[in-house]
Amino acid sequence: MALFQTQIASHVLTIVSAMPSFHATSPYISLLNSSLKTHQQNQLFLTKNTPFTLTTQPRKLLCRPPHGKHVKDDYLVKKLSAQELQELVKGVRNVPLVIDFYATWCGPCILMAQELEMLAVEYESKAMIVKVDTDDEYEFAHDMQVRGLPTLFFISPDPSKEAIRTEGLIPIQMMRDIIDNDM
Amino acid sequence: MNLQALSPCTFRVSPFISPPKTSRHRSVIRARVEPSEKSVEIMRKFSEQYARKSGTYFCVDKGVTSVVIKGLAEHKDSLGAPLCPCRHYDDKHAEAGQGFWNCPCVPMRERKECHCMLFLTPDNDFAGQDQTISTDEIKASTANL
Repeated sequence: MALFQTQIASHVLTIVSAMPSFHATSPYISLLNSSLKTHQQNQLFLTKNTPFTLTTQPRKLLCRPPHGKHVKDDYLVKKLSAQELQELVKGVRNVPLVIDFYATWCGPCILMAQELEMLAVEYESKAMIVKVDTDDEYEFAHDMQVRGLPTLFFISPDPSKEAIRTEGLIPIQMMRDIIDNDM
Repeated sequence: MNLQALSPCTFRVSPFISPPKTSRHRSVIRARVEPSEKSVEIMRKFSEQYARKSGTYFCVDKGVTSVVIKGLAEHKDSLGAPLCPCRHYDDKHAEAGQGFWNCPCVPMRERKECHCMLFLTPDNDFAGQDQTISTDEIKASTANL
C-alpha cells in the first residue's frame, strides 16, 4: 500500500495561530441554527400553492414531513474516515485538499467548521474540504501528530509543494491566502 | 494578526499508514455521549468562578463557551478530571493523571492563554462582556449538536 508520505512533500510548514485579531461578527452558532431549520408545513390534506412549493399543482401530503434538524447531509464539508481520506489522497487530484481535524466538544472547532462551510461555498469545485473526527479516528489523528484542535492540513495537488499545517482557529482570509498563494 | 511560521523548523508529516512499532495498550475514550447534568453544572460554576477570579470573559458567541463546558464535563465524567477538550491526546487517562492539561491548564494559569476560547482576556476580539452563563444558555446553544 502506498505510503501517504510519498503523496505529499516531505516537509510541512506549520503555522501556529495566536488569537486572531479581528472583530467578531454576529454569533456564528445562531447563523448555523437558522440554516439548519427547515420550513415545516403542518398540513395533512390538500394544500394551496405557496411560495415554497416548486410545483404548480396542489400537493396532497399524507403525513407530516420529517423534522430536518438532525439531517447533516446538506453540509458541504463532508466527514471522512481515515480509510476514505487515504483513498482520496492517493487518487488523482487537481485541486488543493483541506483536511480539518476536529473533536465533538471543541469550541473553536465549531467556529472553524462554519468558516470552512463558507469557504466551501466560495471555492466550490476549486478546492476540496473534508473533516476528520479525531474521536472516531483516534489512531489516525495520532499518526498525523495532531495535538491542538482544530488542526488544518492544506495539501497541494502538486506533490513537490509543501503541505501546510495550522493549529487553532485561523481567520478565513488566511485560509484563502494559503489556498490561493501556496497551493 | 500574530502568527508564527515555524520555518525552517518544519515538520515531516508521518505517513498515513505506519503500523506502530510497539504495541500500545491504550483505553480509547470516545466523546460521543452527553455529559451528565451534574458535571455540566459543576463545570459551569467553575467556569464562572474562574473567569471572575482571572479577570477573563466568555466568548461573544456563547455557543463556543457552552461546547467547551460540556467537553470539560464529559471528560470529568469519563476520566475523573476536566481534561481540555480542545486537544488530541495519546493517552487521555495518563494526561488526566499528569494534570498539565486539566482545566485550568498550565498555559491558562501562567499566561492566561486559553486556546479553547473559554477564558478570554479583555483585549481579545472574541471576548464578550459576560463572566456568567446560565444552564439554559448551555442547553440552547448545544441543542443541535
